[in-house]
This record gives sequence, structure tokens and C-alpha cells, in this order.
Amino acid sequence: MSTSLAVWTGALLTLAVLSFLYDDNPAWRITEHLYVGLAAGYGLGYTWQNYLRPVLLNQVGAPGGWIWIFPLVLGALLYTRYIRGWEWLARFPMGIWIGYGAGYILAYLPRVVVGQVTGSMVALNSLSNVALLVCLLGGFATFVFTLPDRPGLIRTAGRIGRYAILIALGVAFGGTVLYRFTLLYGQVHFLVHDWLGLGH
Amino acid sequence: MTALRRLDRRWLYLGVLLITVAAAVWPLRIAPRPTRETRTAFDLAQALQPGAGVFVYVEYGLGSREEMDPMLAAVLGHLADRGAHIVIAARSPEASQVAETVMGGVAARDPAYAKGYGQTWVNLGYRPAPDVALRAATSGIAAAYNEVDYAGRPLAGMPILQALRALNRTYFALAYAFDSGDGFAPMIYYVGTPTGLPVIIGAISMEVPLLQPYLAAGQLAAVIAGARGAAEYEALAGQPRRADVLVGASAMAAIYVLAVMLLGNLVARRP
Amino acid sequence: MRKELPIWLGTMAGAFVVATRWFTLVNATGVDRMADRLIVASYAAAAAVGFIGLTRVHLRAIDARRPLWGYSIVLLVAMYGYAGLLFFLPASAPLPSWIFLNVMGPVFSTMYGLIAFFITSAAYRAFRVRNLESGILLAAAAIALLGNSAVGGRIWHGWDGLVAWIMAVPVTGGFRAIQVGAALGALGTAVRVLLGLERSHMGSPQG
Repeated sequence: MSTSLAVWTGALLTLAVLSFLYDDNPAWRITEHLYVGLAAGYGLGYTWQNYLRPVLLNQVGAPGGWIWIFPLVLGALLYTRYIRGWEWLARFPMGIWIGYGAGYILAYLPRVVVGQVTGSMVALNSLSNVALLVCLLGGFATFVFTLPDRPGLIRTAGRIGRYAILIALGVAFGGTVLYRFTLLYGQVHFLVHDWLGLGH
Repeated sequence: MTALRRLDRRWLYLGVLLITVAAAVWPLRIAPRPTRETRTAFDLAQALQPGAGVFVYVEYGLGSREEMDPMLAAVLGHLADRGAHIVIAARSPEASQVAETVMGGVAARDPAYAKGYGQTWVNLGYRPAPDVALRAATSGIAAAYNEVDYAGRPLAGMPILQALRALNRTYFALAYAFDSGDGFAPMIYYVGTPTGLPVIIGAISMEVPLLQPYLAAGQLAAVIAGARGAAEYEALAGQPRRADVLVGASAMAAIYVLAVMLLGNLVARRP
Repeated sequence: MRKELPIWLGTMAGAFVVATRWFTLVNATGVDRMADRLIVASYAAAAAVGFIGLTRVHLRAIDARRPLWGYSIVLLVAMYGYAGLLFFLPASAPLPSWIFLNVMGPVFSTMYGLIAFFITSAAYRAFRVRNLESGILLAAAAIALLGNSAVGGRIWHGWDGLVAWIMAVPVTGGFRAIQVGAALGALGTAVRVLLGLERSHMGSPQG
């Protein structure tokens, strides 16, 4: 069994999280709150170390650095949501960020979508290519809800599309299982190997 | 049969625990046959000339390290073997530190990288509004990252960024994203599609199906898929074999979950 | 003014991005690069919003002695302790790095891995073949499970080819339909934002 403080800390925390599987308990709750607290503290602390201190504080003080005052004030306006009567000021950063993001979508997404459409224009010279087109058009037909009485062709295509989407979701489920088990395996391996000193 | 129908979920949990403990005590190593996608990713890196620029964008955090670390280490190790110049950036604070840890391990094995920070590789760290920072990097990396690396060291004195000025085809040969769900889309939208730079995604198993439309349309050059992809890449690139045991553990898990699904169906069908 | 001005500013910000992308002359001035850096800085200035939100919620819980208020103290100590540490020390320093690897690491990994248990329970209770649709879902999951874990290839040498075909045809077709639909939805929403028709991000109608 390990004598390392690091390993013991990790092992006890791992067991505390796993204890939730039996039932809710204080060890789990402490770890759960530790999880949220550390994540929030780390996010802010790292942003300070990685960006706020080396970039902003240095640049504001440099010649011509006055321009950085504007974004700092804009971002800081978001905190007014916690000040009664001044909440409306938080709409300024939100409005600009959402508008900027919308601009990004309009500027960059069309080319990706066009690439998807042109990528679907395959030569119908093999069964796989025909099947791909049928799955794609069927997939579109699945989401046609606006016609009050859907024509038979759209209904049939929609059914085929639904099968394709179900296959895709089934495959995604398979991937999820393997992903989650791999993560769990890592922690169990840590307990068995690093903490208890068993196995290879 | 009634007992099985009302089976306490904790019995199923115990089965999960036993399977993973068994996989840890008696590791099963499975070396899978490389898929076409992994081979493509390997071939693209293998064709790099010494000094070629490669951008590595790390998105995954602490929670996904078990599946993604071996893959990232194998690819970075291969890139180091090819003498590529590696520019690392991250999508979150966690990802930045994870990338630093993994690259530190890879660099320690190779003198050109162990003492070559700023010359053969650099970690730019993370920026708030990561999509904006990524897009800005396509027209100028140093400016997008405010002239400092993840630890606040000035980029101006680093030869690597004198040569690799912007994230586009003029300066870079390949771009990677090691992703647990959130990083592939910005790489396609803001880097791959506008600049034409070939993008390779190293993905957790869960998101691999979501990448297929982009792969089929040529918007992605290749995908390395989860633990299996990592094991395939390690074998192809002659890197330390860490992912074979993960594939072995996955195999045991897959059989267990299939057995559980089968049992659930049998129980439901019996009167 | 309290609502219209932020909407107008958003419209201008979005139109600016579109202009810099599609008009080379605007792009060549480098004004887009500067704007990107300013936006990143504004995000950074707002980095403590979640931090303050959590502080308020948990201080209230402690103040009112709500049930389980003691755990709020754990959260606040962890949050302020770690943020405070990183305020003075770099993340790569021994103590912050030790906490990152030996406290955050195991907790985060196990939290993520916990889903393996719940997904198994769900597979037992919910993954039942009741009709053709559920049968297709289950068959696809089984093929992918065995294929991606390399078991399938050991059972039958054509298994990997089958998985590759499924990925290339129904998965590509099915997910492409969803993704193109979602992208068109995103474009429509972006247009609504720029036209000032989409205002949900402005919060409640009061004020």
C-alpha cells in the first residue's frame, strides 16, 4: 500500500465520490462542494495568472494603453447585475457580446454549411453513395413538421431518415459507454495499482 | 424473474466495479488493427519536414485525461520525432495546464524539446472568449495572444513565433484539436474552412459520430477516435504503448454492458 | 435607452464582424484584430461573475442557516483558498500544481467516470426492444460497442469494415441532416439578433 500523501489524498477523494453510488452521505457532499469550489477558484485564479495580470495590467500601464480601459469597463458592467437598480447596465456587455457572436455565425457558418451540402453531392455510382443520399434526405424529411398533412413520400422518407438517425444515436451511445468506462477504469486502476499496490 | 425485474441498481453498479477492478488487476492488452482514419492522421504527420509548423489546440480538461492523455502524448511524441515546431494553445484553464503537463513529459524524452522552449515549442495558454482568440490567431498569433505565453513570458524573444506568425497555410502544415466535445467546431469554422489548413481531430469516443459529416465532406483531414485510436496511433508511430490496456478495459466493459442489455430484454419479455 | 441602446450596439458589433470578414478593405486595416483583442479583454474583465454568484448564494445559505449550510463553508473555503493561492503563485508552482493533480484530478475524473454506473443501469432498464426503432438503436449500439473496443474484429474480420460503413453512410447522413438543420437555425437566430428581433438575452422586460 502506498505511503504517499498525494496518492492517499487522491484515493480518499475517489472513494468519497464513489460512495455516492451506495447512497447520499457527508463524504460525497463534501467532495461535491469541493469540486464546485475548486473549479470556480481555479478558473478565476488561472485567468488572473494567465491573462489578467500579464496582459491587461501591463498593457493598461503602457503608452497608448488607455484603449484597454474600454473593454475592462465593458466587462465590469456585467457585475451591475448584482446591484439593485443598476441591473440594466449589464445589458451593454451582453448586447455587444451576443451581437459579436451573431456576427461570427453569419461570417463563418455559411461556408461550412455549403461545404456540407457540396460534400453530399456524391456520384450515385455505388450502393453506399445512394444510401448516403437517402439517409440525408430522409433525415431532412424527419424534421419537416410545418406541412399539416405530410405527403406520403415525405412520410416514407422521414421514416428512413429516422432509422438513420437512430443508428447514429446508437453508435453515439456505444461511444459514450466506452468513454465513460475508460475514465472510470483510470481511477480504479489508480486505486488498485497506485494506492493498494496490486496488479501489474 | 420478479427479483431480476426489481433488481436494485446497486447490483449493476457492483458489476461495473468488479469489471473495472478485474481490468486493473489483470490488464488485458489489445492492439487493434489501424483504421483508415488513424492511418491518414499518421501519414500526414509522417510527411512533415523538420521545422514544419504544427498548431495543437487542447480542449479537454482533467475529467477526460484518462482517454485523451495517451493520444495527445503519442501525437506530440510523433511530432517531436519528426522535428516539427509545435505551437500549443488551450480552450480552458484546465486544458492549458493539462497540455503543459503532457508536453512536459514528451519534451523530457527529447533534448531538442527539453531545452527548446521558445524554439521548438511554445504553450500560449488560454484566453477568455476562446473562439475569438482562435480566429484572431489566423491573422496573427502573437497579437491574438497579447505577446505573452501562458506564464506571461514575452513572445517577442521566441524564434518559433518569428517563423510561425499566423495560424494559416502560409506558416503551418497541420492543425490539431484534442477535444472532448467543445473544440472541434471552432477549429473547423475559424481555422480549417477559412484558411484551408488541414485539421485533425483527436476525439473522445463519444463525439466521434458527430465528426463523421465533416470528415466525409473533407472539412476534416482525419480523426483519431478515442482510446482505440490512441492505441492504433501509438503502434503506428512507435510511441510508448499506454492505450492498449485501455482498449482491453473497453472490451471487458463492452461485453458487460451488452450482457446487461441482453438480461434487461430477457427479463422484460418473460411473463 | 436601457434596452434599445444595447441592442443597437449589438447590431453594430455583429455588422462590424461581417464587414471585416467579407470586405477585404476593412480587413486590411487590422481593425478586426484589434476588436478581437478588445472583446477577449472584456470577457476577461467579467471572469469573476460566476465566482461572485456562487459567493452570494452560499453566503446567504450560511447566513440563513439553511439545511446543509455547512457544506457551503467547504465550497467557499475551497474557492477562495485556491483562487487566492493562484493570485500570488503561478499555477505551475508546487502547491497549486499539487492541488491540481492530486485533489482536482481524482475528483474530476471520478465524477466523469461515475456516469459509467448510471449508463449501465439505464442500459438494463431502458434499452429494451419494443419495436423496430428500439431494435435498430440497440443493434447499432451493440455493433459500435464491439467494434470500437476491438472485440468485433476478433469475432469476425469484417466487423471493422461494417463499423466503417455504418459511420460513412447512416451516421454521416443522419448527423449531417441534424447538423445542417441546426446550422440553418443558428443562422436564422443570428439574423434575428442583428435585426433586434431576438431579445431574450436582454433579460426581463422591466427596467
